[in-house]
Amino acid sequence: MNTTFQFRLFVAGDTQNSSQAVANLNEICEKHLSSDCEIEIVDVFLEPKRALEDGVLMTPMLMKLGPGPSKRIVGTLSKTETVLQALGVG
Amino acid sequence: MKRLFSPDAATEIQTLVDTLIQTEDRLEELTAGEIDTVADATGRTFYLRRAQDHLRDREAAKQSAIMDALPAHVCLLDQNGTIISVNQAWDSFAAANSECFTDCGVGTNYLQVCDNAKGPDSFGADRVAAGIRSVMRGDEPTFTMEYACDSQWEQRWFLLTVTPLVGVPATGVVIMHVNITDRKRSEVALHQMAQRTERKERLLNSALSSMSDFTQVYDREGRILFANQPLLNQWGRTLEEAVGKDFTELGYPVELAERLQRQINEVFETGKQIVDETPYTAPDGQEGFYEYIFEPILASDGSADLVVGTTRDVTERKRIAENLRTSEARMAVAQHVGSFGSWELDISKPDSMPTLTNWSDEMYRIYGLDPSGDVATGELFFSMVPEEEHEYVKLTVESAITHGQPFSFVHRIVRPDGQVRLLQQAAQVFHDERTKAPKNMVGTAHDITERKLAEEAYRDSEERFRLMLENVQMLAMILDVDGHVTFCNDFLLSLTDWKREEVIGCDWFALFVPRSDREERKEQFNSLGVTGLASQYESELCTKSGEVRRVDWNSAILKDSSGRVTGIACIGEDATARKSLQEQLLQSQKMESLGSLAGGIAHDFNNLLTGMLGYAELAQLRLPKDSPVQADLREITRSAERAAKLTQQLLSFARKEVVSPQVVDVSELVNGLANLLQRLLGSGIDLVLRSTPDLGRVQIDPSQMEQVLVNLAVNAKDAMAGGGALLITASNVEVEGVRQVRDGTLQPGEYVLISVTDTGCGMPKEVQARAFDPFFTTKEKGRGTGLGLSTCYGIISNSGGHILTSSEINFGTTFDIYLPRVAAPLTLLEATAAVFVQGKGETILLVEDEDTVRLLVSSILEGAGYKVLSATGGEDALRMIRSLADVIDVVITDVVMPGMTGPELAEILEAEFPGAKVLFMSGFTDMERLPEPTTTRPNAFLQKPFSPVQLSSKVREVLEYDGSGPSLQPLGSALAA
Repeated sequence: MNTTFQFRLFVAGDTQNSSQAVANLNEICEKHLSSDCEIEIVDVFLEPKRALEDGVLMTPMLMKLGPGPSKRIVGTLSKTETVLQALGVG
Repeated sequence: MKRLFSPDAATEIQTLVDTLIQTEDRLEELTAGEIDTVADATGRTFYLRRAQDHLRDREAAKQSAIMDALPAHVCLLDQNGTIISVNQAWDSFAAANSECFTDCGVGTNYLQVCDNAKGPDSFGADRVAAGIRSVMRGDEPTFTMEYACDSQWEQRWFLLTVTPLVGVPATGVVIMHVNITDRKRSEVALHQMAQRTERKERLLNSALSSMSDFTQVYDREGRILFANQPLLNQWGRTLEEAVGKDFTELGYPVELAERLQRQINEVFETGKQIVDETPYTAPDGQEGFYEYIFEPILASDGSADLVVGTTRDVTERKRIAENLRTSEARMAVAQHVGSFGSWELDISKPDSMPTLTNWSDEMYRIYGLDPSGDVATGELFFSMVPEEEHEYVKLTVESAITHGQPFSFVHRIVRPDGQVRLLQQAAQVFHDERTKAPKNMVGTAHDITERKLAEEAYRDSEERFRLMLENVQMLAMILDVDGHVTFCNDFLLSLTDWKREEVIGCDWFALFVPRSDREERKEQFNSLGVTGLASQYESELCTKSGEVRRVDWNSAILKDSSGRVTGIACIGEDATARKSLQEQLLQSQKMESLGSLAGGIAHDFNNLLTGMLGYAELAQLRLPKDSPVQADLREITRSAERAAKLTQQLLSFARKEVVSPQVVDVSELVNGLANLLQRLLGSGIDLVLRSTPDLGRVQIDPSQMEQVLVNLAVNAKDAMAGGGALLITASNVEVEGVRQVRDGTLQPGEYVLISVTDTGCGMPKEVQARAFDPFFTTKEKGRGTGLGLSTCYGIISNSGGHILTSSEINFGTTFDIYLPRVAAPLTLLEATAAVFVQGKGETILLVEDEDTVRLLVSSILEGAGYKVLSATGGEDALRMIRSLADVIDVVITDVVMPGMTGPELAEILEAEFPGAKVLFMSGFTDMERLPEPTTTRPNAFLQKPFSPVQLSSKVREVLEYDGSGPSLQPLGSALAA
């Protein structure tokens, strides 16, 4: 069974919310998604084209690419339970 | 204010701004403030207010952190000279120096402060104010000024820098004060150092010039900047002439000049010194070596400024080092070959363990260590000594240190692989020359395991060899080249009766070789070295008492490693007994043949004697008693009797005599022998006879007993060459209890003891011991048979007696003969035989091939009143018996005859006429030829020569035989004895 979570997190440089989102995502992966997580962090200032391609309107925004259907979560990811529910884990 | 927008435009702008703010607020609300940016459809991203504030705050914090991190005091002035910002250093400096930096915080006008400052404490504030203004105007790009501003405790210097903020004229300036006190101090120090360096240089210069080493200083181009006086002398130039020249210009050989130049360049490049050497040839032709060192003088940045060269003559040092290397290499080889290692201990500190300061590679090998892996220490070596030897090793070393003597000791070690080795340590203690205290100990360790093993193996094998030699029943001895005994075994000593200490080192030939052989043996011995051959020979060996033993020797020449003869080793077998046995065998073979001869002669001789005796006696009987011829006839009879005795002796030697034991009175027998014995002994020797009056009787063949006495007398005579006395005593003795004697056991009982004592030379012990051995004689060859005493012994033993001997040198010898006493009455044969017995007319058949004897016997028997029929042989006799059986009363027959012998005739008679009486007569008896007597038929025997009296008596005896009675001896048993 492939349980590897693939995430792409869009951030805006090292702004406060983006930094928090990176930290929170790392924590969620570590504590709740015991299996491997692949996290790709995309800075919208450095790669604006990719933000455009993925239709990112706001940062920070997390895209779950797998497993299962893709999901988007906007925000600092500080409400862990909500995030897990959204990911279909909680 | 000029209007930029129309009122409509202004209103729209107002609306749009409101919308923007509302949008942002709403976004915040929707996302709970969790987003930073938003993007439009073209991908442009906008920070939200919140993110912008955050970024700005962080930027400001960053800048102030940088400012605060600066050690310099920094402030920012606006274009009016008002302080708009200061860093932490500024604030703290202001606080610490409030006396001169009053009111220098944010909002203060710095220009005014400077303008107002006047007097000695103003630190050039006016110049500062002018500088700031000049920078603000753009007249100067920057303004700097150093100023002193001492605190209460120390001197301080500062550097003030004024730099403009962007814009012309500047929108403001940055004022920075840097504390440069340290740098200022360094500069002062540098200045002082420079002065000192100059002084040092002068000193150095003069010092360098006084050195024997050549010193020179080069610049980067390899040109001389300086050379000391010895070098200048060598070059033959002044310093001024030398400076600025390179090696080539100074006349160095091109090759060397290039090498030196290259090396100097290398030193400049690497900043590292180079040490090298070069050979030289001095003007006087002496060859040698210079060692030179190029050393960089480093500038403060680490690069080389100058190179100093120092050149030194190292010829002597190199020579010593070379010698040392050679000898060390030789030593290492020697150590390896000799398997000894060397070591050195520091023992200068008496309170601590000695420390190992030096050791050779061979030590590793001896101790089984790995030279590349193990680190040699005294503790490591010591730890390999087995625990039980620790104390011993320690004490030995300590005592050596105390006494300061060279010492040597052996101990074991256990190598790391478990192998046990035996080491011999030899060392010497060295003392400090000044304090005389022990300084160090230099020693060698020698692995002697193999040597010890070999020694032990050698000792073992030598011990085995020695044991073998000691215990073998052979003589073993080793002589040196001079014939002195260096070794002899126990057997040799026990055989010769010498003690080892009497033998070792003595001349073999003087001690052991009979005088008669000595020269010859010595000569043989001396020639051994020449021939170098092992040899076998027989020689005689003298014992301490002078007895001569015969020895078969095997000898081997001993040589040392260089082949020089060092002596001779001999193994000998005592062949005395073997040789004597061989001789005995020879002798007995000789006697055997002599016996056969004697027996043969005796047969014929006895026949002759029978004739002589018989006729002489017949003649005596026939002649009147007063006839003058009677005396002559008696002489004939006596001579014939003597001849018969002689024949008897001859038969005795051949042990073919007929034994007829009788009960005899010894004293009578001895007395009867007195005349004969006296004649035997001769006039020089007195014969004394003594006997107890009531002497008991013994049973023995009297003629044998006579022979015993005669033999003893003959020996006694030989022992008394200068005259003396022979005493023969006979007495009764009682033996109580069992007595062990030489030849067995003397049973308790009654005996007649006959002692024969002479006053002669006596016999040594060893002669006594062998006196009764057959063929043992002390007489010269040809004089004695060695049978005398052994015959005596045989006779006495056969008679149930014992013969013992005791002797004392120079006093004489006694033979004691013990014969059991018997109660039986004396045998009176002689008495009965003395009478001529008349016959009663019986008929006798006489069988005899010898005419003389037949006629004699026939005439004697006819004279005695018998009828005599004569036959010349067995066959003839048988014929006559068969035809005249009823008239023949007795058959008298010779034993040995051609054709049928006497016994054969008797056999047939016994078969055909049982109970027929037969009398045998013979001069030569052979018991096998005589038939066993039976109860009905006696076998009687008459020994030739016999007298008519004997014959008449014997015939009567046979005729009157009735199957019992003592007069007829069973012949077989008598002969068998």
